[in-house]
Amino acid sequence: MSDGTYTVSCHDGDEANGVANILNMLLMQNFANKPELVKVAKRMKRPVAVISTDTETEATLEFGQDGVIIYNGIIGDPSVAVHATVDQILDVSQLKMRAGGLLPVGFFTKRGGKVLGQIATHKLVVKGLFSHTIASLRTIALVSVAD
Amino acid sequence: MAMKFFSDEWCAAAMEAINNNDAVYKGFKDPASFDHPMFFGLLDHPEVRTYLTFEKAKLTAWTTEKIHGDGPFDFGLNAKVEHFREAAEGRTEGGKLLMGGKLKIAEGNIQLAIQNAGAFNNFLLTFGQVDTDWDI
Repeated sequence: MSDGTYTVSCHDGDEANGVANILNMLLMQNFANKPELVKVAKRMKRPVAVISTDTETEATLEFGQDGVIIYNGIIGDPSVAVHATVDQILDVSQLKMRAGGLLPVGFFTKRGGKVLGQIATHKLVVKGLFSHTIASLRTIALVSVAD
Repeated sequence: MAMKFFSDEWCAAAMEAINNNDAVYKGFKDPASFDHPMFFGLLDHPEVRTYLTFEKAKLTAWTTEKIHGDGPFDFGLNAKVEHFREAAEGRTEGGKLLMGGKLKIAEGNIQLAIQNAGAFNNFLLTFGQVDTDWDI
């Protein structure tokens, strides 16, 4: 699928797992609704992994200049890896981000405070948050459904 | 007497139970604007598909008739009977079944599912209040 310039696809096609399928739909709809996110995606230099800890399902996003490919499992050497429960993934995907993630205004909300608290207590782990902070914030911006 | 899952009489009973379940209503992000045509179907029985209408976060129709024609639908979900049953019996929440690939969004807006996840989980859980014959 494509927004005309930037494609989103699942490498594993019909065998794509639940996380890959949801990321696929989420990114397609986000690129269509917020075309400015294409620039953000093009700036992602290394893969990003999402690990749903309570369903033991993993997917990796590999961004390119023409599109993003979503793989089942962890592929390559992700700079950011989000280890979260389904509820935590839902919370993160509702954080409002501005300026392609550089203004994480969603963190200054009740939901954002909850997410930060879970990160502080290692209940939600974002590997790369401190070593690849901008990539981490861009990742949240890419998967956020908040208007 | 148990009603066949996703039969018209089952849909009517489920609609009543869901509309009377405050946990479903409270799970909507913005109930006043939740007006959506949807469908729910069975992956292991592709001939079985039901169509429903939400108006202001209350179900106003749920039937096997194609009341919305061929769409578009704001949300369409398919799953095997066993996975709907798993959610209905409270063994696994709908969101986890979705992320685990057991429930599959076939059409519509993923934003709708994410922002109303609380309602979605309780919607599926309410199926358990209906005396259901799961043997399709």
